[in-house]
Amino acid sequence: MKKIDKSLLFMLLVFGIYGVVGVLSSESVTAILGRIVVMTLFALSFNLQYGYSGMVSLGHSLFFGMGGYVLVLIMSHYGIALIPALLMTLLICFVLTVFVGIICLKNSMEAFTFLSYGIALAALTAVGKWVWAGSTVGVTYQALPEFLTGYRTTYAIIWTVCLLCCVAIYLIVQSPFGMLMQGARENEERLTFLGIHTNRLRLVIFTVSCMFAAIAGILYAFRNAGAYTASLDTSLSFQAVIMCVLGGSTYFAGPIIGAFIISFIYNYISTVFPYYEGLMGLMILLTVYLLQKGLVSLVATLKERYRREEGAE
Amino acid sequence: MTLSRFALTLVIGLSSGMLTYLMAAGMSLIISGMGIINFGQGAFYILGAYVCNQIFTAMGLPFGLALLGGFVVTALLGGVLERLLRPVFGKDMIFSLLITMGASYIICDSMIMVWGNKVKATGLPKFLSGAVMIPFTKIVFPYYYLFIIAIAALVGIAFAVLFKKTMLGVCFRAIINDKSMVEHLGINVDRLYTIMFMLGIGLGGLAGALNAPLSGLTPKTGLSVFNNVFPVLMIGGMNNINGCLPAAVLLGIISSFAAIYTPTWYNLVPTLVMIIVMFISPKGLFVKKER
Amino acid sequence: MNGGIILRIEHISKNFGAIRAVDDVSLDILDGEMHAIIGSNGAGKSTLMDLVCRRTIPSSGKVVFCDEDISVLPAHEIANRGMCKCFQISKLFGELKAFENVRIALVKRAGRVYDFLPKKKDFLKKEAIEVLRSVGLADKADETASLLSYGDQRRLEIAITLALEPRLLILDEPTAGVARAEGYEIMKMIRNLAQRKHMTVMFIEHDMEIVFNYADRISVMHNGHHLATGTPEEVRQNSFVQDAYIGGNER
Repeated sequence: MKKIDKSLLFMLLVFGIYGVVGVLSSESVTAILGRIVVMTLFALSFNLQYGYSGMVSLGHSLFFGMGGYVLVLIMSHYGIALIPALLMTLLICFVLTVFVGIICLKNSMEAFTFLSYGIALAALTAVGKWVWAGSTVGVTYQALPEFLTGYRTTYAIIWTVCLLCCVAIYLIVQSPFGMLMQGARENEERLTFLGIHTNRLRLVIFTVSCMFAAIAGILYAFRNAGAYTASLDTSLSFQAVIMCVLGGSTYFAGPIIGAFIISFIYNYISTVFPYYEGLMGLMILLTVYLLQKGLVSLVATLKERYRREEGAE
Repeated sequence: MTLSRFALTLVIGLSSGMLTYLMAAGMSLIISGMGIINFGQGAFYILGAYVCNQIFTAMGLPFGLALLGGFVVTALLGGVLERLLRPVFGKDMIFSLLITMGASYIICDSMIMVWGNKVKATGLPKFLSGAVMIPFTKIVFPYYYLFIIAIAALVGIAFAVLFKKTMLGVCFRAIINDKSMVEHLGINVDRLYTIMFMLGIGLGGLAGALNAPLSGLTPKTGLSVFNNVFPVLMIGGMNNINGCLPAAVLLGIISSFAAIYTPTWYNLVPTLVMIIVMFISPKGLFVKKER
Repeated sequence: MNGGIILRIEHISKNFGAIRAVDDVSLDILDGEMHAIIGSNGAGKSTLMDLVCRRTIPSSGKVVFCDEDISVLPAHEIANRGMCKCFQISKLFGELKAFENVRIALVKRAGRVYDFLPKKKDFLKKEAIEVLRSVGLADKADETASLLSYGDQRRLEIAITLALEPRLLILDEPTAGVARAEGYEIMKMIRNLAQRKHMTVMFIEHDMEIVFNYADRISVMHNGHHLATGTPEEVRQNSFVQDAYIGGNER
């Protein structure tokens, strides 16, 4: 019998819980869960370039927001039906992602961080002033057809697509491409002298990662029945990094845990404690000082200690 | 466009460029000297502005003191942050990035705690309000813009003198060139790093303090400042402190003229220029080419 | 191929500012030989190797590999042409296991770099272990690369390069930093592999014993100039070389 990998099992378990709780809960809880599920995909997509490939982008918010905005804008302004609009959105996001990726990868990897942030910030600023794109108010538009807009059905759609995408990400990580991704993280120069065009490799990694973020953004637009500047906010880019580091970027399951905790803080704690961003800042510092490999590493260390004690007896 | 309009736009552009130069130079110093990318620079910028506001507007003390306060308070906090960064010094860039990010969140929320969320206005000191008119022309230059240019230029010169003529500057240059060598020469590198860091942060705080009278203050304004600073760093060359000045002045002037033609989009012009420059000369415009 | 010459270096120079690191060097590497490059420190050997494997661009001159001018090829293309370099400081995929290191090279060889389909965890593992066996690391296949001993890391470096089945293998001080006995082991292993796989080897080496025992021909560099090329005997007899270099060095 084939042994299923622990990471995959964990992810399926988590999604199982999300699914059951979401379907059985009230509208407000389901709404929060919807965001958590979307953020899980968001974080997993980011970890493809960060944890697996060693690329530190601070512009992931751009692609997340792009997905929702492009879909909502082309539907609301041009009256295009959902399915063709989805295809067009994916195509447009793909082109923009490749374009931004090319720019960001022109210089060093430190410059990559800067450029990605600069472009994401500029996009946020631009949309904030662009009346056609809703400026700071955003665009309210229900992209889903009438019969799917019940809060449970919306959640079901979000949950299903996210699950499929997360499984896809898992499969990609097990592929030869996934091995090359790790090679890029470990030693880029070695890859070059194995005959690989590392800039092109990074561009592909970047595009795959950001396209999944765009899909997450589209689902977010379903949940919010519209596109709002919060989805483009650069703080989301920082959150992506924090989610992966907090959970553990070297583990597949790390971002899943990180996404839950950070989303929880943002969704729930923000209502009771106004200085939640400062709290998150504190959590980041603690993670860096105490738990550099993330929470999953804590679990792994505890298991190791337990195993050693067991063996000693 | 009339001559006076042209001249005024030029001066405004130069002045805003100089402010960006201060911030960018501060960041560049820390990047080239310590390899740390300080994402907290925006937070220190606002902090400098708030301190200036507090000292000058709220407490009614002299403006010069307010500016100095902006520089000193942020520099001191910068020293604390540098301590926080010690444990991860030399490790992956991501850790210092996370720490500066975390610190910036904490600082921003602290500022909200202390000063609240409402927009604050800082007045201009009397002796700096008003303008000077060039005789025989209609050209008018508001004093404050000239003041900013002058202060920033003074700082720039002081910087250059520091780097070229003082022992401290020699040490800084040595560290930027070859860290380990400096350590082996028995110089107390730790203290140098602290000074370097505090200086870099202080510059950001000073820029914020200088800008306080010009615009309303909210905790969120620090973010949009990065719209100008990153392009300067990319175009000037991240590791090149000297490149910051021409890049900042250039972008400041371009933005200023762009503001006349597109009042809505002008603050995206630096990013646009940055993208174009990345295609033409990925290492930046002002970096020395190695043959 | 042109008279059995696999690599031709023609009048190559490299300036770093005012310093001529490599000054008008021309030499030929014959197909199938083990060719050593020797010279004192600063002679320009490493720079010459960097030029050959396109880590830097020549200031003038050209490099011709298998009758193709590769002087201005982008660095990643030279491995695709069949020339592979092993670095003086091992460039390994540190956090990955030994067999995973070799596997990446095998994936590249199989043209599966952009293969997105999931594979089993032991995909290509057997083939990787075979390559590791040829450098004597088969029993360390599951060890993390960064935790291997220095000598084993050098072997792993060679294994990764071998996985690409290069025609010309370039080694930068393959025995530096290891005990002499192990150095001999490594060179013997390289010579066997070179003969078995019909591979040409070009290597920089400081240890004269190794050079004279394992090189078919030797080229001597001094202050950026190429002094002489020949069999070990010819080089030993060469008066220029004696003056400049082999005076009192390891014998």
